[in-house]
Amino acid sequence: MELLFVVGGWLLLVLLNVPIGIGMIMVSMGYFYYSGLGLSFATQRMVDGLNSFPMLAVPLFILAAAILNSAGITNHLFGFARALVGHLTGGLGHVNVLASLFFSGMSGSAMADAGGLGKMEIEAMRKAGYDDEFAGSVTAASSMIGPLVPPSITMVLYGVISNTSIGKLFLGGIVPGVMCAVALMVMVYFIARKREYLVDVRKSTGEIGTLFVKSLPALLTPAVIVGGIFSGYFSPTEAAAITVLYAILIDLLFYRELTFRRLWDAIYETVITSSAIATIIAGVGLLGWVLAREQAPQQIANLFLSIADDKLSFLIAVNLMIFVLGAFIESLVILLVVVPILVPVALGFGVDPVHFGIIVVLNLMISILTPPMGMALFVVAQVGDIPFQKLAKAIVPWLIPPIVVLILVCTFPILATGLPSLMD
Amino acid sequence: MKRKYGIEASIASVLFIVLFFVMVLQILGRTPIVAGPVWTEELARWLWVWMALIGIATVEHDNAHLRMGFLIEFLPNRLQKIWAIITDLVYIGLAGHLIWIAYKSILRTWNYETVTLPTTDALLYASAFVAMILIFHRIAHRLFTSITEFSKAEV
Repeated sequence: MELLFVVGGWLLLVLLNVPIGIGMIMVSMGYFYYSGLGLSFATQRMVDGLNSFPMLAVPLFILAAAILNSAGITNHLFGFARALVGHLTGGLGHVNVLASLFFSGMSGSAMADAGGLGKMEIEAMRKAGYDDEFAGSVTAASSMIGPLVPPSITMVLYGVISNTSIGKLFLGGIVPGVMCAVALMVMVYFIARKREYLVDVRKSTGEIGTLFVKSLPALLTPAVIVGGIFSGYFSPTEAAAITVLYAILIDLLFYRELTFRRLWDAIYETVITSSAIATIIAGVGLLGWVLAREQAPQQIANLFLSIADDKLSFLIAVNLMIFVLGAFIESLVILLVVVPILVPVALGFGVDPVHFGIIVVLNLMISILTPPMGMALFVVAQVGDIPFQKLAKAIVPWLIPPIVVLILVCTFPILATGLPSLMD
Repeated sequence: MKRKYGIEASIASVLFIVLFFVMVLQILGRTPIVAGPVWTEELARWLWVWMALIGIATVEHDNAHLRMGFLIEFLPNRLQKIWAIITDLVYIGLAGHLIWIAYKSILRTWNYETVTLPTTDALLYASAFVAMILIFHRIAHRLFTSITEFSKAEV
């Protein structure tokens, strides 16, 4: 009963505009006041929740994305993607997806993609005669690729909470990430063919080569990250620092667009975003204590054991749950509150932790597209100046490609575990 | 347009820059270039905790918390303002209590030695104490503004 009050109370507070993390702290402290239990370790639990070395990758990857956006590296990636596929049926729609795939190799955040590349992509599509709904939907849908392809902030957090190798998760996301890009491009092709959108003039091989050389330093980032991790030069957390260093270095050597002021702004933005996430992590430190006292993990485990007989039925149940929750609750909250409860159950059903991680991250990325709480939709609506209601309606068919990929990844674990197993 | 930074934002940003260089030092420490110190990982974690918690005061200042309060839109404007004041009153009360709890944590951990740094764990837990004071100050400021504006509107 107390559990119901805690969870219900938190949801109500959050829906009434109390910040997500602060709401967790409020209901947790309320629980301890009510139950007469001592709160003497409250701040220690909050600090201990943050005191984790792998978690340092979160602010550093956020900074790397902010620097890439500030330094204008995204312009070069967009230009190269446009030269490569701008002439195909679907033109800038394909460019949008491909640029996101390139950008995802440097940034671990869907919001950085939607907010950084998104503005440029939507403006270019508008100029070329694409309608707002199409431009906004492709931009939002393609931003979900970001956390699937390494580096990935969501995977870092999953690795921390589930004690899974972050390096293996990074590798495991590559195939599903590329599959999502291909699936979205197929969707772009069919819609664009029907609506007869204009396409670019095909670029010559020489022009493509020049743009490729310009973009090459940026395109090499994922190779530096994954190569460094698996050759043992640095850990995934250290890889985040290397990504920041690499982003600054390639700007200094090749692009020269990053000023001191822009760098300071990027650091400031990173502090704000990281601290907003830290509030939730600190809140989870307290709320997790309450949930454990109320035996929530056992209750959830029993619930799943009663409805699922085998691995596949468990995965179907989990995916449905995350999909429904994701429409109403921020994906970060699901990851930090719900997923830690699900991981031991998944292991009990014999699901590989890397496979489960990729499924969870993929599903959470679908949830950033599902209204009413699709965060990518909010960002794209804002940067693209598109009414949210319009975008929320237009995005619905764009959920099909990632859902198809999710079903394939659930059914064929090798898609997620194949690359990581090569490293064993 | 130049952005104005609050004092907490500047402190947190400087901590973040130091954290970045400590991480770089840690990586270089495994190469023949630099003799790697043993304290880099612990210092990096501490800097992150300090940065993140002090940064929360900046998040309060910029009103940049993650929210999803679409129910509030259905309330009349006046009720929305009253609700904001009530939640801030609860929040400031809890922040006050957390300052006291954080202070007690510092005393409790004063003699706990750290693994690699030449100090005690109390310095880590002091981050919550300092952050809560800064957060308390920010909420108090916001409360004062919103109550003043509300009273003016009522008159």
